[in-house]
Amino acid sequence: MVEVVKTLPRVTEEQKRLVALSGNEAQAEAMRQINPDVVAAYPITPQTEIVMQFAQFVADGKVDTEYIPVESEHSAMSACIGAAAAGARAMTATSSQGLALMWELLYIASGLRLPIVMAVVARSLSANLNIHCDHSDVMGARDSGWIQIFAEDPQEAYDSLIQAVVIAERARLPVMVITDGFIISHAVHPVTVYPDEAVREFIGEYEPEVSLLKVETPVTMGPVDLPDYYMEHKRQQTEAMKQAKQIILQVGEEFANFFGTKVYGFMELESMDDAEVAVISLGSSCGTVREVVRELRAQGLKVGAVKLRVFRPFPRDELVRVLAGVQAIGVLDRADSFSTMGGPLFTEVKSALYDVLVTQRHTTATQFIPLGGPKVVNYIYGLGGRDLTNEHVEEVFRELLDIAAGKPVEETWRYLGVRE
Amino acid sequence: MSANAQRTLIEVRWHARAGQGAKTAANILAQAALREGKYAQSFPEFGPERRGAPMQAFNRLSDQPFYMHSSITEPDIVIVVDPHLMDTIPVTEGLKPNGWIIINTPLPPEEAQERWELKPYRVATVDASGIARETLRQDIPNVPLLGAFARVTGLISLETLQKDTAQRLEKRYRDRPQVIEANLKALERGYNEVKWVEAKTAELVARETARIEAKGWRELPIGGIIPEPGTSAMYRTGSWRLERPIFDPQKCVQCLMCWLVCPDAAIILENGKVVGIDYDHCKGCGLCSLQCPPKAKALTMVLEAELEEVKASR
Ligand code: SF4
Ligand code: SF4
Repeated sequence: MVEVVKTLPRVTEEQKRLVALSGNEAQAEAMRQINPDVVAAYPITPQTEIVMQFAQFVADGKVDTEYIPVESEHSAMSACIGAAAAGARAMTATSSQGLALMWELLYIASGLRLPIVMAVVARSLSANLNIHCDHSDVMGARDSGWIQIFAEDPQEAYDSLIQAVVIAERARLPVMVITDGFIISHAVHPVTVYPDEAVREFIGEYEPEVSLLKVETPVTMGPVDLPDYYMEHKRQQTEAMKQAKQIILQVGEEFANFFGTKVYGFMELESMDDAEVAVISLGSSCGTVREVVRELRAQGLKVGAVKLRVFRPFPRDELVRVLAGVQAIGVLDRADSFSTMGGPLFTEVKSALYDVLVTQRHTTATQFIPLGGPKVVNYIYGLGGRDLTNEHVEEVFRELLDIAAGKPVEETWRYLGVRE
Repeated sequence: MSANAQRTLIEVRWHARAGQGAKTAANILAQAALREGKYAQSFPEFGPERRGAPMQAFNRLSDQPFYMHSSITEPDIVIVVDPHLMDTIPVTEGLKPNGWIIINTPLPPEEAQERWELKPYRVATVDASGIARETLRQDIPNVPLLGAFARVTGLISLETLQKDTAQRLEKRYRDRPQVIEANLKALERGYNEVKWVEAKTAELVARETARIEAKGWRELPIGGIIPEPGTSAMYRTGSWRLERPIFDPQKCVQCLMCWLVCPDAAIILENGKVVGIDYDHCKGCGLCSLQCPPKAKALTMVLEAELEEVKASR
């Protein structure tokens, strides 16, 4: 059990509203309720609606936010960094090339330990020009020191963005909440929205420990940091990421208590209790995978699925525990890494499993029984918006079942839905 | 015995100010060593250096191949290109007992050994700046220092250094052979005029180091912030100076132009009047002297090197 920092009276069902919102609308709505001090953003497909709607909220006086319509994403993140350093609650949103343009600033935001929150609507990177979903942009930023939370649908995007504010401020780390471009950003789903006051109560007032505007305790931020200190500061950052794991669970628990939602954690499991084979994926495809798992379970096949919600920090121990006893694992990657050994999620999962003593199911967390590693196969899918169908997922499960039954794995790195 | 144990590796550390040519000298030394069939490295240490900031350059020399890329912490030889660093930088840090310290100074080696407490080391001195000014018409002490290095260490021959220097300058100064001549002369004079004394003791003197014990990552402020104001005053940039402004209160008309333009807030004001210069922080940019009204001329820039000579001759 996670220790909860904050307990608030639960929001009643009557206070909630069920509305139809797209992923982008849900994120804009969350931003309106969060009412950040500063938003600096630049529109880019498929994130544009978030910025557009938020600008409208500003124009209509529905938020107190200082809105900075910058001339590029580089400036958007720069302005957020400046605002956060000054002690403001700062937010932005972007996609694809916009995230790529923020590249150097991402590291500055995390290095300065500024709790900036950003909605990232995942989209492929040029060339060639493609506006549709994949995770190349997000994966490019995976080692930038940002917490990365994937949302499956608009509800999760809305909930996660609110949680992200608290996570960021407690961990003193920036957080990106990721939705799949078009597939979620432009798809309208039922979303339960909480009252404004409740959201504001949940996130509370932001009281930064240090800020440039606290004149009574002046500080210098971002001075030159040479070989004699730089490494200690990077070590601190990793430690913050480690601590963030506990904070993410804590905030998930508090959120569930307050808003009466499911408990958000590192992952969500589908039929993993006695699964012989399993698929791990991120974002919207987790829904498709879940559908197929239920179909195949109805046929008596022991299949399961892991929806990974938090990619950074990577929940190694928790994932390994879940995968204990699974004989064949399929990892779905919506990005290629061009390493010629698989996509980014695959290499993480595989290295998490390597040499770890896998717990046998039904033993306690401290009793480890080595079982020998499961077979892990990578499927790169959905690049540039290529659809992932139920048939694709079923094909994966059938292959995994064959592997579990002893069929040799010839190549661990494969493509799904590509024309040969 | 391993090949490494049989190998003799000589490590050299140069102390200079950025812009004084220590990096070039280290490169020349490495090149000359290669020419003699030795294995050599040369590398500078980069910091937030600007012209005038103290810097270091390094050499490794050996008869056998070596592969390390680490920095040099226990040199066999230290070369001090700028004698003013003797008072501001711990130049002998890590220097092995009986190691060489070669200093650019007109002082005789006995006096240098006494004055800078260099008893555990072999001390060589040469007025490299003086030689350079006479031969090269510029204060480029690195050339005569290389000559001195060749003489006292015997690690490289004067002929090789001369051959190398001639070849290096040939292209650029084809039309002005006198420049090449002057460089060869500077090398030779450094070689001939260097004087040295042996170490007086095998014991290293334990030195009081003012170094602050660096904190571990658990204790450091989060995000690399500096949690107190005005800390730049603790950073004494005065040692970066090549020229120093000399203030003459008699000539000053108190227009405060110098105070206005000084980028380092190094003009000291008392009751609204200029009273002097904060040499701990003045970097010697000369802006104050440039802005001082021509009629007043209350600020004159003097070369630090010459200032020392002026003092010495008195
Ligand atoms: S030379 Fe003059 S202007 Fe420049 S730093 Fe020194 S005092 Fe200031
Ligand atoms: S600029 Fe010259 S005359 Fe004016 S205050 Fe400074 S030293 Fe005096």
